[in-house]
Amino acid sequence: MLAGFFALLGGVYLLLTFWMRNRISAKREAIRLKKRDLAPMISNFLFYQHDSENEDRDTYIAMKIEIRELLKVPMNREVLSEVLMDLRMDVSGDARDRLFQLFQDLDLHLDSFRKLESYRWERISKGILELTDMQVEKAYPFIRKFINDRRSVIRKQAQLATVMLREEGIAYFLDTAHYSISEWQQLKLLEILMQREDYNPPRFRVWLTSENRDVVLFSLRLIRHYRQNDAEMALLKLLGHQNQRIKGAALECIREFRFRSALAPIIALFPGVNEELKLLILDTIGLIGSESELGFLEDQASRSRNFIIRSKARSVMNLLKPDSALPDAFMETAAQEDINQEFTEKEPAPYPDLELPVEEPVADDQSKAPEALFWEPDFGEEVEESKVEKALDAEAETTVEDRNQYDFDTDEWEEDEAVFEVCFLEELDDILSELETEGEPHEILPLDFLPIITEAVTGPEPAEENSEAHQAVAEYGAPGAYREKTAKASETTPIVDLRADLKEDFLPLIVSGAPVSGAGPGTPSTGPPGENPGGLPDQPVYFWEPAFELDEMPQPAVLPAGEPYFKQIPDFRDTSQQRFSIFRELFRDLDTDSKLILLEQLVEVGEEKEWEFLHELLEDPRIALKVSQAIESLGRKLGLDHAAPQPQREITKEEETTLDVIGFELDFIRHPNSTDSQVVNQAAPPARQMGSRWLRWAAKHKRHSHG
Amino acid sequence: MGNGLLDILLEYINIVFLTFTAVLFTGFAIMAYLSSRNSIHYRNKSQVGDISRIMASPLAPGITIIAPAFNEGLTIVENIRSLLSLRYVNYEVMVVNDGSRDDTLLKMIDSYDLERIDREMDPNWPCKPIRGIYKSRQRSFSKLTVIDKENGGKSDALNTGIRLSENKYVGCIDVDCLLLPDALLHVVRAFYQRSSKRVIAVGGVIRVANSCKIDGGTLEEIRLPKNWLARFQLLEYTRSFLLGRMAWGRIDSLLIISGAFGFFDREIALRVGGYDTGTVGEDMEIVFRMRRYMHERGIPYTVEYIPDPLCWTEVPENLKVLVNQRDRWSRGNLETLYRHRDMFFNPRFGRLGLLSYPYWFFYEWLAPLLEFMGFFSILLFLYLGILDWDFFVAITALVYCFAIMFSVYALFWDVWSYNQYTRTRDILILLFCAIIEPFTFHPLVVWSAVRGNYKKLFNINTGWGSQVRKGFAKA
Repeated sequence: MLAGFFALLGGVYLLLTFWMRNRISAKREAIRLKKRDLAPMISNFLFYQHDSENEDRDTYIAMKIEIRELLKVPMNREVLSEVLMDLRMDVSGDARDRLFQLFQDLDLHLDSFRKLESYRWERISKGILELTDMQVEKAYPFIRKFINDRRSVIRKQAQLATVMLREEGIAYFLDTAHYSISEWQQLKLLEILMQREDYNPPRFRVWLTSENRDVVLFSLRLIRHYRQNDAEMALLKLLGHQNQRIKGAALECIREFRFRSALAPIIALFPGVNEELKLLILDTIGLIGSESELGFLEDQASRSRNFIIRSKARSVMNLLKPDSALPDAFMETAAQEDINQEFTEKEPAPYPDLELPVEEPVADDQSKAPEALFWEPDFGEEVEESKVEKALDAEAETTVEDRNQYDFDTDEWEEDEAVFEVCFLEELDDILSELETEGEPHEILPLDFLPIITEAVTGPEPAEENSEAHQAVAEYGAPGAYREKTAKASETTPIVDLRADLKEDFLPLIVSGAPVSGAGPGTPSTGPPGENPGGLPDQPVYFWEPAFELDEMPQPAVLPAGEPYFKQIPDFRDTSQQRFSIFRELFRDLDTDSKLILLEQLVEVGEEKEWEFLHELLEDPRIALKVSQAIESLGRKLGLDHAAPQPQREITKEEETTLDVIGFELDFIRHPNSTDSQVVNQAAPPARQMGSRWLRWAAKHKRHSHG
Repeated sequence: MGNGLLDILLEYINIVFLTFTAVLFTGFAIMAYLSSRNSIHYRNKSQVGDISRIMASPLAPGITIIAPAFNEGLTIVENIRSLLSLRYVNYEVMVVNDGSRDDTLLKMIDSYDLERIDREMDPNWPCKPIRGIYKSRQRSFSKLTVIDKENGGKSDALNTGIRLSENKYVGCIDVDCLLLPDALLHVVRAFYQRSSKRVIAVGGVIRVANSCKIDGGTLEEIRLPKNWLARFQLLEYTRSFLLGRMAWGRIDSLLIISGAFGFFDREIALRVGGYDTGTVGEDMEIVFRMRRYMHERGIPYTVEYIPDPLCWTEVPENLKVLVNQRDRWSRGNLETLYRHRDMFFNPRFGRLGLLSYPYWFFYEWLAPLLEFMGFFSILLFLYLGILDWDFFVAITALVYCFAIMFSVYALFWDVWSYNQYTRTRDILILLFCAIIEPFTFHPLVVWSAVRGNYKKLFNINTGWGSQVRKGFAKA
């Protein structure tokens, strides 16, 4: 019999299953259809313009009547409420306000009010939710009384509604809440407050004295969120609260507001709290502490049994005083000397993929063209970025302030200007005198260096003392590290940032014939690597070259003693001699086909400077024919003598010492051991082909200087 | 005399079985009632309020999802992508490569542009050595952390993740599980909604993803599995999760959280030492230990249960794999019950000791063994000619009808709550499964349980076995 009963029950459940499924599906479908009909009607209502034409007004009124009729059916009212609630998520601003007004105009809010009178908690909650979401402000006094209802769902809904409906609702809620406020509820309340526009919150420190500890906790979080830092004493007092979460929230406020007076209390608090709070305390000490807390931190770092606490304490120690906590675990005994020895024996190799240059004896034959002695460091992307891509703007002012963009030691810049001038002039004299005594042509130095303060180069330092320097040399790829480590360590360090982006406004300052032998990044200019192990580069090394052809490179700037250097910079606002073509930049990066197409455009729009530029392109065999045709066409158009190439523009004296050189491109020259530097240049992209011009110029200059 | 003794014995066995059955039915009926109440309450509560509001709240807690991976090269990239698209701001996905022998790690490195980072690990934390910790170079994958370690098992991998996590809550899931986008929001709500008790763990429902339409890590369409084994398991999961765990959650006596979808308070999990690497039922055992920990310290706590279908996973469609899985479950059961045997009817542990533990002991562990013995008893009585046919038929019919009724009841609540299998055909198939289950699927489960207990009692070590991953079907 019992089995039969269960079998019957099973059958009933099966039928109920189908019935329930059908009911749910049917209801869903009915609501969907109703929504499909009512939603456009509501949208029309919502976006109806009151100043529209009579016809629209008639339609509007008819719609209104129709809706009134529909609202007589309870299901339609429900659906309409849902439609409005769904629409609420999609509109904002005025449309939203109209939506809320429409909800009340259609008396749908009365249904929600009726729900508040139900005995079922889910209906009351639903009613509160509807009134809240549709911003029925007059429901506030009715909802407010549910703030301390014993039924938790109603209570929570009422709390949210109170805060949402009126700005002072949060104050009322915090004043009157008797029950505990869950973390989830706090999350939702904060979210509501955050969504308020132009919200002026009350001073939440008032509630720090509440007897409801969740009110205290929530107030602490609100204080932190709204950055109300006027409750310092109360926060310090709350550090002694029994509740760990309140302690944690108070700590977070202290950390946020950096109250230094809290240092002693939080250190005293440290032993009695859990791991999470200990980490918070350590973090706070890191922000507000000073070196006087190192003792406490060291104690924790050595004695704490918790690995995370120990690690954190060490990191905070290093934060307060760098290198105060060094790795000491698993160390070998006689390590330091071995490390130094390694540094001295190994060659510094900042670019492990490159071969370092081998010093070759200087040839007696001075007529030999200076070989390319610089190798090409593999800067990768940085090389491309460092190339000057834009044409220099000749109208741009070259001012003294431009120098500030170089990476100088800012502490030195703050010194007296006169001291700077004197030092600079002295250094310049030293450099020039060295160049003169060596009797060799000097290279052109790009202007992105500026040795600010130099003193006489000292001899190689003992290996141990110089370990930092070796490390810096080994890390030459990180100029920042290099600068930080060596700027103060050695005042002989020239500020040479070989990797810094080259600026457009730099000029070669010193001119020389042949490049300095054996020089290259990361190595002393006096010899190949390894021969000057203690030395940092004692004079900058330069291996970029201008891409444009010049008859004669600027001469070294010889300044009268006592005159500030920067006064010698001429004003380059005169654009009369500018001959920089915009097509130059375009041609640099294009492929052959694109160049051919561009050549046609150039003929159509080109001027004299394009005509000059075309002559430079003749060197490219792939487009030489087209270029010559273009020269002819453009020359004919401009009335120029296309048969004869345009003579090169001469660089004037005033331009020599300026920071703005027109059309400066950067390039690298291959390793001096390369068998065919011409081949190198031909294989290089167009910009590199200008290197051959540099070499020819350099040879020419050398012949002149030794002439 | 001999006959009299036999009759007494038979009568005694009948009484035992009858009592056992009656208690079981009563328990199930109470569970059905409690689960129904809980379902109704939960559904009404869910209708008010929008949880997505707190998605990016400054007070939202951090969560680390730990997913151990072993030889998951086939599906790992897609699974991680799915995990990275959850709708929550403050979370981290930590994949622990537990010494995979295939290209799992390589695929992750390639697909997510990972690079090795330096990160300290507590040297005192017991776990297998870590070979490397990886983070992505790309900001869009900043939530992903990959830990490569030597093989130590699932528990070891989870423990590593728990220790390395820096968030307040940790979630332990299977890497091939599909989480719905709002899963973490539900989890956070479950952790945060209690004010008077500390929520130490949150468990969820596991749904069967076999044959479902899943595209790009998103569940597109829910379908009934085509494989009969998967269908039986779907019915079993529906009963277990929707009725059983819902009821236990209602009275705050839930003893187990699925290893495929379980979240813990990290602080408590660390204090109890993480997962036990010496058991194959680690998901059950850690909950036991965490509950015990809170009980012994008198700290008010609770374990929450989320009935929403948030986690979808593949169930075994192969008989051998299924039997191995159930074998492992029963061994884990026995290990855990034995380890915490002092809870048995111990009032010191409250409902845990007086209700939950005895239920697990009698029904989850002992029942399959009794059924197995009962089967042979029947054969024996039949052979001896002493079988009471009336009683036998009556009780068999009673149990059979009750089982079907219970399954249909579970189906009814599934339709009422979530209405996922809406086609008439699907409901009828599940009904058919309920009718034939006692003769087909259930004996397999019983056999697996007996085998697992046998192995455990006689110390036959077989470990985890293997699951053949097919990846979510792109239908």
